[in-house]
Amino acid sequence: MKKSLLIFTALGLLFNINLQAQEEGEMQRKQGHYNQSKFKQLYEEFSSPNTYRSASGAPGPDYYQQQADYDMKITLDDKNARIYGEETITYTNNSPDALEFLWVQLDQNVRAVDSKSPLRNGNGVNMAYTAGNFAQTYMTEAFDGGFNIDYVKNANGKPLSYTINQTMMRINLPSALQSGGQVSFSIKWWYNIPDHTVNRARSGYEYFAKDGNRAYVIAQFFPRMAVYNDVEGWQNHQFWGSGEFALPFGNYTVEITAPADHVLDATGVLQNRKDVFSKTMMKRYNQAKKSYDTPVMIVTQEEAEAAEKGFAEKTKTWKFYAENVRDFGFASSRKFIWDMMAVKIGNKDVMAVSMYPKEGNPLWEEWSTKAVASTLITYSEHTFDYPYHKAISVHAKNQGMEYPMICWNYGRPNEDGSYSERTKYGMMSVIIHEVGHNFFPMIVNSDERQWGWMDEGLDTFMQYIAEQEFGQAFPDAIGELEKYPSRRGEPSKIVPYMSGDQDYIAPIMSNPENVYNLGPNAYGKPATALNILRETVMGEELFDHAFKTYAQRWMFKHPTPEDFFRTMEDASAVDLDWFWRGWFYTTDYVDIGVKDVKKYYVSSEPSEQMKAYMAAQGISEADLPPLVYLASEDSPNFSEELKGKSPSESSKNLNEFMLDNMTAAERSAVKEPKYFYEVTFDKPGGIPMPLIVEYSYADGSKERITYPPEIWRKNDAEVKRVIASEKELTGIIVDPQAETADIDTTNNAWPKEAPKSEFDSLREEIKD
Amino acid sequence: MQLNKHFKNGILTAMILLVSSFSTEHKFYLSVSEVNFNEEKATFEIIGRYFIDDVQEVLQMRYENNLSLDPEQLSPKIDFYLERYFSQKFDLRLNGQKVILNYVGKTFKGDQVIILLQSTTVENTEGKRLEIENKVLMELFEEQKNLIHLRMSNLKKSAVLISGNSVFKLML
Repeated sequence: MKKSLLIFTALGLLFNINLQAQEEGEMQRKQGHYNQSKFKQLYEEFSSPNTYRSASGAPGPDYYQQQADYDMKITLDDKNARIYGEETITYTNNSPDALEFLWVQLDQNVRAVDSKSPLRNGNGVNMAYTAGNFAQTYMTEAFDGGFNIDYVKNANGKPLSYTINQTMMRINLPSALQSGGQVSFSIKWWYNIPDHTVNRARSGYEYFAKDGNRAYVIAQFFPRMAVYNDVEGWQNHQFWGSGEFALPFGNYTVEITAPADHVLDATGVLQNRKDVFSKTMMKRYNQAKKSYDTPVMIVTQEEAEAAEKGFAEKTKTWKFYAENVRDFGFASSRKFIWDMMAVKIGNKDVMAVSMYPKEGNPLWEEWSTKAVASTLITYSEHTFDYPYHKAISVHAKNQGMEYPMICWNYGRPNEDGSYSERTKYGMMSVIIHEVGHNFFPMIVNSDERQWGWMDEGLDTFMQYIAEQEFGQAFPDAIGELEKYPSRRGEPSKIVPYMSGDQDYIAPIMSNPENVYNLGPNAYGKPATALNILRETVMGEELFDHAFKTYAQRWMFKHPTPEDFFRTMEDASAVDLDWFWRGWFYTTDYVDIGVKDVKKYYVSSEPSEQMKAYMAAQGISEADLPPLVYLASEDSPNFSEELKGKSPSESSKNLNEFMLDNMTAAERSAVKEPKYFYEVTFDKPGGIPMPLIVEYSYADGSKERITYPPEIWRKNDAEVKRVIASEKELTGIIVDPQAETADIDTTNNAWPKEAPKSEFDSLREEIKD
Repeated sequence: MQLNKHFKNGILTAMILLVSSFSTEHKFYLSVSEVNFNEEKATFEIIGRYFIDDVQEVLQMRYENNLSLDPEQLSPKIDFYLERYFSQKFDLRLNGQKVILNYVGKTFKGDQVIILLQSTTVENTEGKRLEIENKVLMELFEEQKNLIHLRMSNLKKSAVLISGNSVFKLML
């Protein structure tokens, strides 16, 4: 034992000295540098942990969040497509700071005649315009969809001073709102509702020319409090259109007055169901509460079709109360068909609900409510039990937009009721995605205005899992397919984006307004990164526990990206700074390959390098401990007779060592590898990733080895591994199952496969 | 918010510049074609990716009402019609002279149909004016955008073709 130790120590020593000698010989003195390691901890990117947000990624002991409670009376004027509101906001200052003023968001001002939103793009004249786009841009008078503010009053009914800057309104308080204090004020407002199918809004109406009715999906429709917190102060970044919303939690008491023949649903618990439901509806509703596998029609298609022929002059008022939500939305129309079903989440029942005009059928009656229920189950398993009492999916043309408990979704069959696979899966996917948003960001309430990926990326990642589970729960939904055809999530699907022109890629950690292509940037890439993190880097068990920890720590709170990054490490003991840096803070991509394979044989003769070293040191072999040498086929210490011999046959020193240190039984049990290979892997891509290698041997066997990403920590460009084997190595494949989103796989195999052009491989596919 | 289903692989930067602020949440009509010059065989090889339902719709409109391009239940005459349609809508010209394109076949990937076209042998392209025209689907969708990625030895160029501007011209 001692001897072998000595050999290793001596060898180690030699190796080190040798390296130094070599470097000194050819050295051109370079300048020093900062720590450039890809594995450097993210101290510079992350802000220091503090008492508000802990280094673990959990809320700190002084974590606080503001509360905004709303009491609103809303009137929907169907005749003129206008909406009126009177609201009282009660704002509680839980921060340690005194606030001289409050910021209120006026999102509808993005559609004001003088909105600056259309002025923010600097691309010059387009190569061409579609006629519709041209007419809208240059020939029609701008639609006036901004807020009209009738008054802002304090609790005593006295006017409060305010200043409007585009989509933000500053309430100028007469005296600062002290820490722990509360203030109430009222705003009266109205605006013209846009046609969301023309104006491309997230909220508005669709007009159905055939029956003259509108279906309304109404959201960000009332002046809403901005977020004040420890990281942004007031989040009063303007609403330009791409960066969505940042909103504090609160309780909402809302009365909505709509035409008496409208069917309406909204965020919150309906308080006067008996006033607004007919006896039949009530009976069906009670049935739905007990139906766990089939949706029950509350309003049938027949009834909806009868209703759309009328136009009630009378009105009806629907009263809702919602606790601990960050927003409020509603949908209303006399065209709506309405179905519901119960779904068990934990130990309580949640209602899965769908509302859709007949134009959504037959697709919607069949799949919407089931998709809602399945989504709630999957997301709850991975985060926390869905805490609200219902989740509604509303069909709105071309929409995909989320609010607490309610969302709008596209997916419309052709007029004759037929629909393509694309329409069907598009509809299921968007429902899963938007219902999933209840978890991110409605409950895990991240700041969408600043970090689009925090809700879109996490939600799209979960959407992939939920889609796969939906396909398993409802095999009828996917027909002949083996699994649900998800559009995003699989590593290969992000390769075209990540290998694209670097001039037009922004890091994930960018404001949504400033990225070139929001789809892959805030949805596809983070979702894929998390999927790879789960499947390939961390493993499902460690990932799922950490992800759940994050969701539970920040449920009903406001997390930042660092809270997510820190928690994923904190709960798993996997160092991930390199992963966040590569995938989230840079536009680097993954490209890892096998560069070279060299064969070696055990030899008694020292190599040329070794001889040179001994000469330089003035020592002979006799001065050294017994050493074992490896010879490559092109080196002088190689001879043909070394081939096929075992190491102990080729090296006297090794043979002696074994005789002295092993018993006969140990010697006969010892493994004697006959083949030695030095394999060089290179990494043209910037992101370090686990090096997944499949080795194939002459006897047909295969071996898979995953080297941890840390293999790149000392040399980011190239690493070498020695493979000692009893069998001849015949092939090497890097990332054999395409798990890492490697953008160039032409360097992934040894021996190099002649690259077949895509055209030729597609041609072969056609022949088959 | 859900970004639209029409967002897909291969969307080019030029494309991104064309798309204005709100469009991300709505569908747009798009195809991507790679035009590669195979030096060994001296032929142009074209891989075109189109949405299945868009192509089906245009074939139905032009030829037969109930044609199906659904990979599970293809109409028997579908190749006949695809060949006919693409020969009318996809054109390659060198110095104004038409290069004959043969329809090699089609295959499917997800919701896309991949159309392969191959030219006959081309003699000496150097210094010539190349024109690539792709009018596919433009008669049906006024917003249709057909992207072309051209690759010839060291040359890599891309273009977005739209109705009224459906030819990509360059000097080789």
